[in-house]
Amino acid sequence: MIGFVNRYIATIILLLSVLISSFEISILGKPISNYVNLQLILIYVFKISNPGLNFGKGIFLFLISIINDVLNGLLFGTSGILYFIVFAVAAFQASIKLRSFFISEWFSFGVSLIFAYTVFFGLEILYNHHLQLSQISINLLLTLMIYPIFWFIISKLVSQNAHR
Amino acid sequence: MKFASSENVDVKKNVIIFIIISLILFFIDRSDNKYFKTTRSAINDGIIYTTVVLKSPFNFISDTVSSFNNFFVDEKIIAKNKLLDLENEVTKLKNEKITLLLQLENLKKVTGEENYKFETIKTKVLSYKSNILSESIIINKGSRHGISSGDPIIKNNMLVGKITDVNFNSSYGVLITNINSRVPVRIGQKNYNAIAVGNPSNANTINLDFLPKEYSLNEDDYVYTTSIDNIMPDGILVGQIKKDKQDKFYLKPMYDFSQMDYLTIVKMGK
Repeated sequence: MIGFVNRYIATIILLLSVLISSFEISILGKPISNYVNLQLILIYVFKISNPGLNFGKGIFLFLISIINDVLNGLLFGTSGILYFIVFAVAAFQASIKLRSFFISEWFSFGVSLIFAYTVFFGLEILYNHHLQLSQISINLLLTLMIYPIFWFIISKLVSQNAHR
Repeated sequence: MKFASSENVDVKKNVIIFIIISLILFFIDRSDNKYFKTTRSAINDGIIYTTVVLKSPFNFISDTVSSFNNFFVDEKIIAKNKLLDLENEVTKLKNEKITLLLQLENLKKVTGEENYKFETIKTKVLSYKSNILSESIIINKGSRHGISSGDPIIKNNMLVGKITDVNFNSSYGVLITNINSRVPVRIGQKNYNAIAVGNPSNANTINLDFLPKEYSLNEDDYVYTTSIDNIMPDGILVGQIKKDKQDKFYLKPMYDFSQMDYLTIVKMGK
């Protein structure tokens, strides 16, 4: 059992973060998920800190993205697009790990966030949905700022045993 | 130096495949395809109710911790909380009275207007999520219970939001404060018509669009729904007119959005 949890810890933590995000702390009248995109941080950090981790060749990641779409009332595929863009950037960064260091990883996380949000909001604008650019910018900046904390916790404490 | 292994090549291939699948799913879902909608409803119901079951141990722990904390709470604080509850109850009753008076007044004014009587259904909120991508309430009633897209969500005769998407045994809704929400309303004694739209810069207020060219609003005027094209029942209380620091009028919702456990859906029968 412990071996199983260790092996699939990345998938389990990501799934829990999707399922239990309703136990939320509010800041300035809005849930914390309005300010930080926890799932994107988790995907990136897990992949960066353990390049061998592939979320069941991407299948688990896809299934979790569908669950997130359902629970948030999003169109199918929305979270998938975001998750796989971030995962792809992390996979690329992990493949050049020997000459990479924390700052470059952090920077490429920022690039992946900008790319993922741009694709998503481009699709939303295409279908005349109203967007709050100020909130998106705050979310992007805070997600980027909080990254080092998760990087420290996951890369140092959690991810060493995760192989799938 | 790291060489590309066959596993890495597989993963890269899978990432591309899954991005393409996600994009295809996104566009099919957008197209509102009848057959896909049925499949989607079944998948949604399955995932929503599985999540409710999976979350129940966490809910149990959370409830136990709060009751354990309450056990040590000072009696004075308990009495204070009870007083607050009673105050809330009085406010709710006052709001109901205002709504009924407004409805009565409106019916007296508009002769020949049909007095709509709609069936209502009480629902439990399964989940409320608000994040950068979306804001949605999931309730435990769906098309099998006669709920349809666009039905108003109310509590104590105050408008909370409306249904956006319906599954077989569950539905999605948005709050009236959401920037994608549009509600036809009538304002004050003069019955000005307008559209209440969520305010993008302040989540707790609502903007009023399409007001007449010349209008005079008073602070604390009540705003309630109007039944244009039978979209909404007439006379559900939405909020009160308030003035901001720049003397600009806005709509303040009456409902306390932090208290969403059970809600009522008005079945418009569309």
